[in-house]
Amino acid sequence: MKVLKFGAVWCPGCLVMRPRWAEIEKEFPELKTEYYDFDKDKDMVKKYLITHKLPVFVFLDKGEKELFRLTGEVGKDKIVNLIKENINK
Amino acid sequence: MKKGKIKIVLGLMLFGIISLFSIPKSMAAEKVNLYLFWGEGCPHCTKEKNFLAELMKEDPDIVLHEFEVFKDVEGRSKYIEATEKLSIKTDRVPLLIVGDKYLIGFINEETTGKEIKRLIEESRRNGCFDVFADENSGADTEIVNPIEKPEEEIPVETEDSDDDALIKITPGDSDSTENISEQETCEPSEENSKIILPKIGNLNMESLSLPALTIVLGFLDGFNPCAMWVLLFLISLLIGMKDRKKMWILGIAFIVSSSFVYFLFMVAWLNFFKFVGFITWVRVLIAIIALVGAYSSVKKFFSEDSSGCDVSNSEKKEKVFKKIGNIISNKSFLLSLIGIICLAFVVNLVELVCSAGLPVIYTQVLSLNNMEGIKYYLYILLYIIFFMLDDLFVFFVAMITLQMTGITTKYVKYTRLVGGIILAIIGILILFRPDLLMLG
Repeated sequence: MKVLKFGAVWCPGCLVMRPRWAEIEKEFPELKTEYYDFDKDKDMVKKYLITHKLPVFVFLDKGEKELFRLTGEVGKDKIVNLIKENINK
Repeated sequence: MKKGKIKIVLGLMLFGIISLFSIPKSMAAEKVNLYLFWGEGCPHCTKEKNFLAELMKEDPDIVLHEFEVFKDVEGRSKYIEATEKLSIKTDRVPLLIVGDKYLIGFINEETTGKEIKRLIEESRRNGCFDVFADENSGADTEIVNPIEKPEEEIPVETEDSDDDALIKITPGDSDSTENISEQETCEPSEENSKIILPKIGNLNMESLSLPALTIVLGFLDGFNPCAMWVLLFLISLLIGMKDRKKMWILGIAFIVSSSFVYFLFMVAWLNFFKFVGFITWVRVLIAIIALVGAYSSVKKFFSEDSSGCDVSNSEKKEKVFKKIGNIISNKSFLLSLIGIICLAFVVNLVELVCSAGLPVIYTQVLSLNNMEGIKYYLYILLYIIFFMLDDLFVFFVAMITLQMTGITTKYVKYTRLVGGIILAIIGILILFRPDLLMLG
């Protein structure tokens, strides 16, 4: 399972999510995560249709197929539960 | 024979004395015609009407003739006729004519009220000059004392004036303009202040005092993303700084400077509304802005299922973010400080239209309340303090925890709902019952 994190330097919500993800990544060292900047990584932004809100977290399975996505400020517990449910996919 | 004549003379004298004392009270004083020119939507006119209604209970010989001038063509022509006859150079209401004297504006019972009573007595003493002597008819409403004619209902109407100064001029003596205290204490009657809300019951508008409204709107406005996004950028950059002292000073300087610009901008709106706020279409326009804002806020609350940052104008945001970075990373602390203050001014000026909503509506409400000049500014200051409070809270929490875990975009969503409801109430009141917004 892989998580693509889309954010921007100017987005406070992204800053709020940063320490939460840092904790999650410590708890799940096997989880692969990649960060993309909304203003710099235009190709990825276009590919994953990031058009309205930030931050966006796209959860992919082993075959790089999108499982689901979360948008905005999301609680750590919710993310942890979703990871536990889908970690082997 | 002589005795008979004396008896007759004494009898006549006695009859005369008895007759004198038996004259009905209503005949003892001369009737005085009062001509009140008012405009629909003018809160000061409402105050004057309430006062005159009370005065007529005390003085049965007052006959009040009312003319609406904003909407009623006939009322307006009477207004023009009266102002021309008495050489009154004004276009404002309420205008009250007593004999050959007139009063523009209504402050309160103690000032304008006292003056009205004095003019009535003066008019009786000097013989009543009557501006419409030949035609005491044609008024919207001729109100005769309710004690004498209890079956006549005194209509409760609202009017509007932008003039908080009381002016008294005698014809031919245009230099005798007299300005009396602008202080106002008169409030809407309790009965008029009640609104029945479904499932809630009676809502007494007087309990929604002006200070309370100021605090609530100021606080909600503080969450306005137009005003807060730059602060959030700044915080996100300051968090990474090593110099804690510099971090605190720059942050507070930005918040205080932004608030100062906001204060100036609200003062400008207030003076604008004090000048033109009585014009019906301006009032209607503000009410529409409030209702559209209410609809937009409530719609956003229900339609946006997630918090987060809007990606629109991302390039502009990135540019500002970089500029802030350059400013705070300047080696000279003084240059950084000046840069931050300038940035606060520029950003708030650029965002003037975006953040205009609540300040415009609040200053319109404020302008409906007639008070001393300094009080207006103190109310704006109170608004600014609470506007600044959320910014300071976000800043303090971020600076202490070194994380942006304070008030985030998630909470902005809920402020939209509360703000939307308040805007809807204000919009409806501005439109239909502006007198209820006289909360001061």
